[in-house]
Amino acid sequence: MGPEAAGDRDLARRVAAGDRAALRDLYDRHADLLFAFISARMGGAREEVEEVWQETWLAALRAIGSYEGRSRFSTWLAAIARNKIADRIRRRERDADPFSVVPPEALAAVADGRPLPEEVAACDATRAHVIETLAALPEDYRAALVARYADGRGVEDVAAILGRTYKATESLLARAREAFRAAFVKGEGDRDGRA
Amino acid sequence: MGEPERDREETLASLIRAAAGPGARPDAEARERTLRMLDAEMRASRVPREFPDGILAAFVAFIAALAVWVGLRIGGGSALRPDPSLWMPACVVAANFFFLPVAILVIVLRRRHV
Repeated sequence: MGPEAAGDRDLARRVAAGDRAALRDLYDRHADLLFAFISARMGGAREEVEEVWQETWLAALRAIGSYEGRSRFSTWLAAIARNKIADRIRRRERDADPFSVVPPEALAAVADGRPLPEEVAACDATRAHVIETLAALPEDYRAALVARYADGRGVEDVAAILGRTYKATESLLARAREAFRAAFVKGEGDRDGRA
Repeated sequence: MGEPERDREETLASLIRAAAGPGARPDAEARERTLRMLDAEMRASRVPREFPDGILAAFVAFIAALAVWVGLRIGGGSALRPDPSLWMPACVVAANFFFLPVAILVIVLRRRHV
């Protein structure tokens, strides 16, 4: 288990013991990606995404004592979110599938560098898989990729945020891209294999 | 960076932008509001603190000593007389033994459901 996962486990244990500072730390670590994950899985109005996001956090807080650190905290959180999304979709009887499959074009584009149609990048299943892939990466890789590509920052800015030199940041980004590609393609392949 | 690598980077960038860009994040107000809600929930649920070990040990020692004392008194024949100084501590000891399995059950259930 990596230091990040061990850190999450320690934070979760402290939250279960009533430590409010640990709650803030854990929340800061996972709030944005969880929101993006729910938004990708649900689509729909932002207000509804926000409601499910809050319900997921509440459920996670109430069940935090049962988190034993066997999986990543983000994976555990995503499992709760999936249930909440399924509940919500069932309630509104909308024909949406929270467990839909990533289009093959997206996998091929990431693996081979083919151009990616915008509608494929924006489709809910692709977005959800991107978030799951990001969540599974080491924290420095994730931070670098999000700052560079989601926020659109220059390499200099990313270097300043991460407290690294320009060269080291370039190298980190290259490794992060490679790790992302591998995890993105492998993750979906694993899912296909399980189905 | 060569052309193919640039294309691959652009593909990856568009994926990450679409999934985790600013539009897919909570705004600052929602973020703060949700954290406040969680904080309130945590305070309301008042996560039970662990019982201090020292007090627990003292309590167990007291009950054990009481049981020994009651045993000695009964052994000495005091139980034959209606003596409140004997049967009241005897009731305390008996109640503790009676609730022992109940307490174990409660502890096990709580551990499973927390």
